[in-house]
This record gives sequence, C-alpha cells and structure tokens, in this order.
Amino acid sequence: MSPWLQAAKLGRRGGIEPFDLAIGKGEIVGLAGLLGSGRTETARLLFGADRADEGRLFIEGRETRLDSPRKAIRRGIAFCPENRKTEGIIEELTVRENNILALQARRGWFRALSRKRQEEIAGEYIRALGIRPPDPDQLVRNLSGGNQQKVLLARWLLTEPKLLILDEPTRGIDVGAKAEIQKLVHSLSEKGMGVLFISSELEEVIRVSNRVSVLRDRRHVQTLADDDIRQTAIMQAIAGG
Amino acid sequence: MLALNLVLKPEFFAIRYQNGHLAGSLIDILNFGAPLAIVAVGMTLVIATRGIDLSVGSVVAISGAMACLTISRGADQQSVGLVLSAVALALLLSAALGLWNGLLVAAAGIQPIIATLILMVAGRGIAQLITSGQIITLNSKPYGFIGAGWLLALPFSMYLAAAVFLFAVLVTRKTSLGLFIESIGSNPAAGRLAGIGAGTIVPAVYMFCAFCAGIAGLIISSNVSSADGNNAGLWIELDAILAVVIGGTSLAGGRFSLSGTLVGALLIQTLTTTIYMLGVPPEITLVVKAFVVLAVCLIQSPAFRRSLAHGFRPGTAASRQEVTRHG
Repeated sequence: MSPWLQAAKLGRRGGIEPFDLAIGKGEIVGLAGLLGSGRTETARLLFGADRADEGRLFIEGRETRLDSPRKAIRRGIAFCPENRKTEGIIEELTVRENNILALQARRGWFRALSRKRQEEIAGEYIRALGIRPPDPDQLVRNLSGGNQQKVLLARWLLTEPKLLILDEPTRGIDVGAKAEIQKLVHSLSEKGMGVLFISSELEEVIRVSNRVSVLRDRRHVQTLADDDIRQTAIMQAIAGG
Repeated sequence: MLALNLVLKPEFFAIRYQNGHLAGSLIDILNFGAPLAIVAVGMTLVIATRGIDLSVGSVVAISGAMACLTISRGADQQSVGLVLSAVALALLLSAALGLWNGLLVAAAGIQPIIATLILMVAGRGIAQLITSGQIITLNSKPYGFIGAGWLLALPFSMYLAAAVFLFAVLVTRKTSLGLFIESIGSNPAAGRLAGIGAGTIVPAVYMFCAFCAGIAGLIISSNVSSADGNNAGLWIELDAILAVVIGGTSLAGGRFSLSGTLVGALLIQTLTTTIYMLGVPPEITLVVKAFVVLAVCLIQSPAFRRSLAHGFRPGTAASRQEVTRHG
C-alpha cells in the first residue's frame, strides 16, 4: 500500500536536513525531539509554508511542488501551527469568521458562504468540539487557550483534509481539553485522515502515534513503529546514544 | 460626537434653489467633499490591509492632467466621445499606477509607506511632464459636467461618490473579499497559512485606491476646467487618511468601516467649509483643522476616555492596557 504522502530527501538549508517521511491514510505519525530539532520546519515544508531547497514530494503517487499554503490546502493538507496566537487564529475576528476562513479562502472571492450557512457550519463545530462560550459572534481573543485551539481545529476540519498536521496542539491547554483533542485525533484517523502529530510531551506522542520519527539537531535520526515505540527508545534516539 | 459638530453650525442649514439646482453651504460640502470621499473610500481598503497610499495626491494630479491633455489635443472639445475617451485614458493610467504600487508592496515586499512615497514624489513630476509644465485650460461642456454639473438638482460629483461608495460596499461585503482584507490586515501570517491569496488581493486594493484617486482627479480638474500639475489634490492624502481614521478604521489594519470613512470625509469637509465661511485667515485654517481632528481622535480613544473618567493620572492608561492585554 503506497502512502498518501511521501517525502523523499526533502530538505531546506538552515531549516531541516533532507529527510524521508511517509504518511498513509488513517495513519498517525508523531514527530518527537527537543525544541529546535526541526519538527516545525518539517511540518512547514509539508504544508508549503516554506519552500524546499532539495528533494521531492509525492502526494497520492504524483510528484508535487508545494510552493504555498494555498497549493497544499488544495491538495488536501491542513496545518495547525504551534503559535496559535500569531499564526493561527485571527484575534480580531469572530469565532464564526475564524472557523470558515480556510474553507472560504479555498472557495475564492465570489463563492461567498452566506451568513446563514456560516452560522450553521460554525454552530455545528462549536457543538461537536465543545467550544465555550458557544457564541459564534464572540471575538476569538476573548476565548481561553483551549477554546482558541478548538476554533483553529474546527477551521481545518471544515476543509475535510486528507492530512492534518498538528504542531503542539495541546500546549498550554487544560487537562480536559487535552484529552478531548487526543480523542479527536484518534477518531479522525479511524475515519481515514492521516495525521502528523508534533508534541514536546513524549508520553502524548507515544500514546497517540502509530509511528514516531525522532529528530535531533534538525535531522530525522530514527523511525520507530508500533511496539518499538517506547519512551526509553525515543529518549535514547534524541540523546544520540 | 460627529453629529454634534454639525449642529454647532446652524447658519449652514440654509439651502436655496438657484439656477435650476440646490445651492447653499450644505450643498457645497457635498460637492467639494465628493473627491475627498472617493479617495478616502479607496484609502480605507488599503489601510485595512495594513498598508497606506501616500501617492493619491499625485495620482489626482496625473489623472486630471492626462484627461485635460487628451481633450486639449482633440479636434472638438465639446465632443462627448472625446471626453469619454479622455476619461477612460486617465482612469486606465490611474489603475496602472495603482498596480505599480501594489506590486512594489506585494511582490517586492517594500513597506507601503516607502513604496507609495516613490510615486508621491515622482508623480508630481510626471504630472508636470504631461502638461509640459503649463496649466492646461479647457473649454469643454461635457468634461465640465463631471465636477461642476448638476443632476436632479444635486451635484453630479455627489452621485459619483455615492456610486464609488456603493461599489466598494457591495464588493467587500457581498463577496468574501472584505473578510480576506480584514484577515490579512489583522494577522498577515495567519491569513497566509489559512490559504488567503494576499498576492492578488493587495495589488487589487492598491489599484482600486489609485482608481478612486483617478476619479477624484477628474472631478477636481473638471471643476476648474483645467489641470494644474502642482496644486491638484495637494495634501488630499492626509485628509483621506484622517477621514479613514476618524471613521474608525485602525491604521494597524484589520476591521474597516466604509460608512465610517464617509462620515469622516464629510466631517473634514464640513470643517474646511466652516472655517472658510467664518472668514478665518488661511494661515490659521490648518491649525484649527488639526486641533479639531485631534479632539475627535482623543474622544474616540478608549484610553483617553478612561483617563477622563478616573481622573488624570499619567501612566495609568498605559499600565491598564498592559494588564488587560496579558489577562
């Protein structure tokens, strides 16, 4: 079974050394490593947020060049960035507007979602993800971190992606919301969505992922699968032993 | 706040009917405020993308110069066809200049204030080149209609302003363009990651702004039936930016209000006309204007309003803002 996404020696000078990575349908691949080890750089390359200097990328077997987030979104990739405040949510806008933003961007200038449709969609996800307060016209800046993350998640789920990249999705979030998000990731993969899961919490990465790629000093050093995914093994790989 | 200002000048409310149209100070405000309103509408969208366009004054001059040159070179200055082609040429040139600005900002990544400063400075020179350093005067009734004509007893320029305003409102609110503009202005990085194509939207917005300046340029030059490369639209960029700010749109970009801008433009025009009617010496005019604008901005500032409510304690406003931001 060929993977949905295959990166072959994909790299960016100063960002991440050339790496191979495969993500299949319904697979949850975790990236583990210390801060600055190149996890976010990897994610950004796969989303077209940064341009690769070398290597090739294949999606559904076809070679692609992802020059921009717009292209990646069109191919079915979604990205929840690490800095949700500065790169994710738009604080000045409402929950509803933040929710429908990526979907609307894909639809373009003229196929505008009607206000009614926007409220329907936003309402659906507010309920599904348990966003509090459940008011679609609330400004996102007034929500707690956990709820802001849910709004961001809703934005991307709305685009029905084939691959969802999550960079530190549970950082700075209360325990309850954390568990909800992890459960959500599992149910998404069961429905066939591929997930790239990045987290600084080893425990979380281990619990969530089918396969883990370990990074050290901007290089992918080892990949562990299934039963081999153990805390000790990962920590050894990170340390370089 | 803004309505109060109008009420304070009761002598304005006299409207007469003369020469087949309405006349009076209120009508003057609508007539002479139209170019400012049009430029301000275009400026609103640029500012909403976290940009600025300092070149609108120069585009006003260039547009008027281009139109007048074309008509003056024509065989029959009364020909409507000639006037229409002159108008089209001027507007096309304006849009092209806007595209120039937009590409400098979006493709070359130059800061908007610098990018548009280039055209602001060079533009006056370009206008002079077009007019060969002279003031071109015209004797063209069709052209004169744009700035000095009347339709249904009201100034034609007012209808132009209304049309531009309505067009802007329709395009930004009935399509998703308004949402995109507010997004990329409020948080450009997030907008990009959400898949918004700023590379198309930003040039489009600068093109529209210059196009508006072009229309204003036609009105202004038509009003005096001549083109003055040096003085046409002088300082209009400042008035336009003020109109936008008074109207509630933030210079930092994001949420914008076209109707707010319209009110702002009317306010500034009312101010200008009032000062003129009161016979204030021209030297003082700008100072008085600046003072009133300062007052309006202070009233709008939440920090200032808080200081008034809690008594003046310097540093309180700033520290209070700190607390609410990190809370």
